[in-house]
Amino acid sequence: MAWQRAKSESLCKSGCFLILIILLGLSAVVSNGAAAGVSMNATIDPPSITVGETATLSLSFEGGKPDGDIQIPSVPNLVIIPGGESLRQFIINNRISISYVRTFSVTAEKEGEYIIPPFTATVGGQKVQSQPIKLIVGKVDNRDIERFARLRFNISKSEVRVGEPFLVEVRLLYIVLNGGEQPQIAGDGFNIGKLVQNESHTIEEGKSWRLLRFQTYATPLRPGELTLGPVSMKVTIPSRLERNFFGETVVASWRSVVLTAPEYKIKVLPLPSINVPEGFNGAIGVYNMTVSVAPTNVAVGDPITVKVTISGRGPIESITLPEQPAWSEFKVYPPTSSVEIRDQFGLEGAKTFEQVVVAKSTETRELPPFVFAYFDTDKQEYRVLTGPRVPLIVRPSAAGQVVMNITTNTPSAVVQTDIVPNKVKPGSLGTITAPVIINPYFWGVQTLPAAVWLVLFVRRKRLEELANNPRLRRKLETDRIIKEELKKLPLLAAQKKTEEFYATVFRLLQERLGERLDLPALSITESVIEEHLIPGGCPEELISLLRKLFLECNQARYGGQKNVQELHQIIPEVERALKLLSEIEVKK
Amino acid sequence: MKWLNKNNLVLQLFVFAQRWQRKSILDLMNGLRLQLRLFILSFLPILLFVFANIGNAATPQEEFDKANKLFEQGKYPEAIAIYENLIKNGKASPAVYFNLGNAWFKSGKIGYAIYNYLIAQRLAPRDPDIRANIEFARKHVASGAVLTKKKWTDVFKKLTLNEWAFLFAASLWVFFGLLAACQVKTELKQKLKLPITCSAIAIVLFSITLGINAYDRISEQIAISVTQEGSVRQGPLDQSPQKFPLKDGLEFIVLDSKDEWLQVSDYSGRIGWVKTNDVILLPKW
Repeated sequence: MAWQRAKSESLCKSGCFLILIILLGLSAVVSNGAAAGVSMNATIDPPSITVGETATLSLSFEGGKPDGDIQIPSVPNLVIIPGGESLRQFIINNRISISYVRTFSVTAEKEGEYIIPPFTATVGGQKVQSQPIKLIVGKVDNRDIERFARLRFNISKSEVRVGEPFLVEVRLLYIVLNGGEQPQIAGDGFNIGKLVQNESHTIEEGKSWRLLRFQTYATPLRPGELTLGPVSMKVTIPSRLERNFFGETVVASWRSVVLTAPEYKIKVLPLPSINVPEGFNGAIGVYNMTVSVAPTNVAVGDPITVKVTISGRGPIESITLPEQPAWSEFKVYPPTSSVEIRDQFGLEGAKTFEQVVVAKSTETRELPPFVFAYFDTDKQEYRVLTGPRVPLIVRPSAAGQVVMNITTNTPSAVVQTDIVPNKVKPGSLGTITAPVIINPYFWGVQTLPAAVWLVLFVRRKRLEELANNPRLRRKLETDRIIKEELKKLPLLAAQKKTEEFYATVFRLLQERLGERLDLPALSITESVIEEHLIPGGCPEELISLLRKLFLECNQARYGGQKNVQELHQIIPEVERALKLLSEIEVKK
Repeated sequence: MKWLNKNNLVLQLFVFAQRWQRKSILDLMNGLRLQLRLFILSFLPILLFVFANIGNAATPQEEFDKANKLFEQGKYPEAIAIYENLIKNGKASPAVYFNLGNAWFKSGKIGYAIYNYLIAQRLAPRDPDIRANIEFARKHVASGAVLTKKKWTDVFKKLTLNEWAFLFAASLWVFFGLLAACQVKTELKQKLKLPITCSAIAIVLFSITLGINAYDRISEQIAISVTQEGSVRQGPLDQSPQKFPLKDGLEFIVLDSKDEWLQVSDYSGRIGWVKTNDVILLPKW
């Protein structure tokens, strides 16, 4: 079995080799045969189109690949553009057939019946030719175009002055586009600016359109009734729609069309010939002017720069500085300029000129006003802008400089030509001192209100504390009483008022003991020693001292008289007892 | 001359009184009445002398008027001398500095004019005349370069430093006064809540504005050029190349100093060195 399996595998391998050899042989035969029989066939699809539509012309080569480019025949009103290249393989009756295909797009610019002449090519060194092809081009229905694209042309003014720019707008409404060119605006006698393009959406006749808006400005160059337009624009729009496998509407084929919009008649008026101001050099628009002169304190021969900025609406770039006849005392050099455009059309902005002038003599006292005249398109009249009259100091040697910077948009400007005169009242005279903030006393005074508040705050807190702590209040009160009563003791002793003396001593002991033991002062007797002080752990010295004092008080109550010296000796003991009492904490 | 004439008169009176006094002594030696008369008469010349001098000394108002008159006559140096004397004697005011600035301006010394205008403006920041003349003088200074830079802090310069300080102090006193009242009468606490809050906000605002103004003064030392022709040099040396010309009245911020040189920056950011003699420093306070 193993032998048989090995044998069959060997046969399989041999069979594969055999097939490969046969295929190679066949291909060799095919290629040799092709060289022997070469042909070229031309077809066009579709054979009938409309103007602007594109048909595909295919050249199919049998028996070989064309060498190099294929010569395209020229046909009037037909545009033939080379397309792609592909290889097709067919197997017919077990024979492999290979053909090369070259495609061309054919677009008709005019309707009619066209015969495309034979194409000529070289294949394997052999010249081959295709047969002529017929193409029928039908007329396009405008309604078919307007279904997909429309062109509109609008102007902002129909009556303008020579040189007055006005806005024009081309609007392309479309559903879908496959490329196109910029619109062409015919305008003999007009200077047309650059197109500014933006895209948006719009609704027309209840249908949503995409909108391509081209805006620019046109400037009439001569008076009369001039024609602006028509406008044409070449675009590629769908020629046929179809539904795809998913049911969606897709473009089946495209067509190139030239959309047009009608022209306008523009009445172009010349500029008024009366009341033309001196120095008017053709500036037209609506402008303001700023003039600055520096320096104004110069030596003869020193340059003075006059900076003139003209800003506003109009062909700002084309403005030139007019000559200034009043500047005869100066040597005037050609100005330099820079433009700052503020809109997309170049019709709004500012142009700044720097003109250098040189005073010819020291007699010169001022630079006469700079004058700029223009035709105001809003007011339809000439207007003159006048700069400031600038005083000058012209000396033989160089010195200080002056800057005058005056903005004017009216023909006359108010300029401060001298300093404000002296004050006639001196005001309150005094020594000018340093500001108060660097004076420490100022800041010291500012701490006073804070200090007062702090004191009052502490006082209030203290009062609140006392109000909430009766024991503390009693202690303070007791301290006060003891302090006052102790002062009386020496006097009583000196007066030998024994009874009163001991009554006071007794009262002092009552007050202090009452406060310490939190008992009413009147309820204090010598029994508190046994009941509270000894159990409370008072020192022995205090106990014995108190016993002695209570004993003496009792004796005095029963008529015991003492001399002054004896009474005086007791006072320190009383003070000592009160002091010890104030220091102890009695355990209850 | 007028003063000398008055002095002569006083001297004659004095001599006459002395003679008359000697004669009276011999005649009326013993009378008390005589002694009193002698006392008065002996002091009469002295009193006359003193009053004559007092009458002769002009008041500040008269000095001011006199300087103004000289100014109108075009005698600017004389007017300047009187205005400066007033300031030196502690009789200054914004009007004196303003007129002094005008006199300097008319003398062609724009730097000194700006210096005095700026001091006047510090004292009276809301005076439109001072502001106008500062602007006018600055326009006469230089070469199209930016002379002064507007700063957002300029809005706080509508009041003087002292005015801001007093506003701050007033709000502080009101605030603590109200707080103190609440400590005395606690029932006022609720009623005074709003005024206390307002005064606290005022303290914060006024302390900020005061701080900004004070910082502005401390941080910036202003120097004003007073030379007609000079140079701002690249380094603090006479041999150093000129960076840009120094014009009378140009204002600078002082950045540094070395020996007799100051490193300065103008308002357009150009930095260089100037000699201290060529500029005058605006006092910080």
